[in-house]
This record gives sequence, structure tokens and C-alpha cells, in this order.
Amino acid sequence: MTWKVVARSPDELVIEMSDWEGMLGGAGTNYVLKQIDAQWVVVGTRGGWIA
Amino acid sequence: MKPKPLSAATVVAWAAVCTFSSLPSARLTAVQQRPLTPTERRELLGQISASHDIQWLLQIAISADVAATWAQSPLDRPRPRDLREAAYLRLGAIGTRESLAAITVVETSMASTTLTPALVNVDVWSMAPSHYGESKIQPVVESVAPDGTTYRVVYWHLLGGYDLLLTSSRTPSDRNSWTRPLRIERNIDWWPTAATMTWKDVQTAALRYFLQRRYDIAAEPQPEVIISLPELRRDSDGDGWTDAEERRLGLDPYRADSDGDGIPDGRDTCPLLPKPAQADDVAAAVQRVFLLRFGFSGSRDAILVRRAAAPIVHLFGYGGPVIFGRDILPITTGAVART
Repeated sequence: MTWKVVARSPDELVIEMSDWEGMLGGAGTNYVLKQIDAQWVVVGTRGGWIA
Repeated sequence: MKPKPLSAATVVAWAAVCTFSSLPSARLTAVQQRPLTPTERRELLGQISASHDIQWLLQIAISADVAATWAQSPLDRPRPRDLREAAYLRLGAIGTRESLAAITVVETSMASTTLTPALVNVDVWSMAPSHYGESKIQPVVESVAPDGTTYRVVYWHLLGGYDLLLTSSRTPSDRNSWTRPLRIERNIDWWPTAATMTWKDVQTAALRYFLQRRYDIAAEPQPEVIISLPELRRDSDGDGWTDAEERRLGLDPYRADSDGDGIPDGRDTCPLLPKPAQADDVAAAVQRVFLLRFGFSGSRDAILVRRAAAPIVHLFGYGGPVIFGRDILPITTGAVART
């Protein structure tokens, strides 16, 4: 598996987390985090892929 | 920007609400009466995703048992993990100080997840990725030892690749009474068939099996594996992982804390990555995303993190080991099996 920050602004962070199982199977999701009370909080998902 | 920690009093208060409340949510009480049909569980998932009942959401997110009461079978969807993930996500979306306190309670609870539980269920295991279903575990072979203990050999990928694993129970009909499956040190890359297990004495068994890698080729007998229970269970450093498991994972069998960060390997989700004194805000964000994606799964499969992952983050809340910098653990890791 792996992850990366795909977007960042002062009040929003988007992290893609993806995983592979062997050569053919995998999936990834973009997780949306908001800056609330001085911490990043996961509030939803946005898009994704599956193979 | 550093995450703003909640006061200890807030966390303790919410933990008390979660654990000891005498006033459970009316909604939870109503639906806890019986397992729900798939349609009802889908409706429940919708209710969770729209709820503002923080106590109810907290109870769902924090407890696998609560979410499991609604399932008629652990194979049903939406699964308990789906309900827990939805509750955790909803707490974040609500975004009030109270809901953030509830999130902290969930995370504090999950931070104590052990990687080496004494007992597990042995019939249905979860895959770490959410897009996979739960798997019904079929034993390779089952055998009763001279002392009456029932043993099963299973074939699964708990340690970064497929292994033969041995579990046992004195009460085999109780699905949650089986010992954590321990690695048999035999390198194997295919599902074994036609296995037999015979006992030489109460501590020693002989395992024989065949491999059939292609349907059009006859199954081939494999060299006998002698299983010594004391050797299988040997944990030289007392950290919860057996020596054979540590060799497979690349840990140090003679050092209880392989990465020297003060967390014993049996409780360290990242046993080869020293935990920093404090995570920065993006690292804390990755921790939360990881918890959401894998922490509620109930899986104990090893997760391998690619070298490209950034930032490198010490993770928590998952039931299996997370090993960094490797795309795959070589099947040849560990000592060669005695044959």
C-alpha cells in the first residue's frame, strides 16, 4: 500500500490511500480532511478507483 | 500547525459515556434486539451517515461487538466494518467539539489494539482492503492430539506472504476459542491438498500434504514437516511474536522492541519504524486516514508499505503489522523448515 497528499489548502487536505493485492487487484480512495479545532479531521471521501 | 490535544478529563468523560453509560441511545437499543436483514442494515448505514447522535455513533465506531450484533452472518454486507467506518466518518463530518472528543475516544481505544491476541475466531477472516469480502477459512487439515486438543493447519497471509499456520482449541465448536495461528516454518507458495497430520507424541506432529499447481498435473507429495509445539511457540524475547514469525517479518527474535522506540513488537503496529516523539499535523492526518481505511477491518494481515509512501508515518489501530519499505516479503524469509 501507499499514500500521498494530493491537495492541500489552509482548511482542506486530500490524501490518497491505495493498496494492491498481487499483480492485478488494487483500489485507491481520496480522503477529504477539514481543519477543525486546529486538527485535520476526516469528513468524507472523494472519488476512487478499483482494479 | 499541531493538532490540539483534548484534555485528559474530556477523554476520560467520553470513555465513561461509552463504557458505562446507563442511558444508551434509544435508537441503538431498538435495533440491538436482533440481527438485521441486509435491507435493514443498508437502511442503518444510511441512518448512521445522517445521524447527529454522537453517543450512538461513538458506540458503533468503538466496538466491533456492537456492529456485529446486527449481522446475521459475518459474511453479510454491509459488514460491521462498514458500519464502524461510517460512524467514524460521520463523527468527523459533524465536526463539533463533542464529536471530535468522541473521535479521540475511538482512537485512544484503538491505539491499544494488540497484534498478538491469545485467541481468535478461526472461521471467517477479514482482508485488510475494504473492497475485498470476508473470507471463510477452510482448514488444510484438522487433527486431535493425544491430550484431546484439536489442532488445525490453515493457509493464509498473515505475515506478508502465504504460510502454513497452526491453531488449536480445547473447545473446537466455539469459534472464538482458537489460539492465534502460529507460523509453521515451511516455505510454501501454493494451497496444499490431501493433508494428514499424525502425532508422534503430545508435543510433536508430522504434517504431510500434496501440492497441485496445475489442474492437468497430478498432485505431488511434499516432504514431511515435523512440527514441534515448543519450537513453534518459542518466543525468545517475550514480545508476543514467535521467533518464526519474527524471522518472517524481519524483526529481531531476541529483542522485544526491534525498532527501539519503547513499544514492544507485539503491540507496535509499525515494529520496524521508531515512533517519533510527536507526529506533525499531516502525519496525524495520515494516521486517521489509515485508521479509517484499515483499522476497522478486523484484519490481522501484514500490510507492506511501498517506499514511495510520503510522509512516512508511524501508524496505529490496526490488528496486523505494518512493514515499511517493502513491496513484498520474500517467501524465503526465515529458516528452512526441518524435513
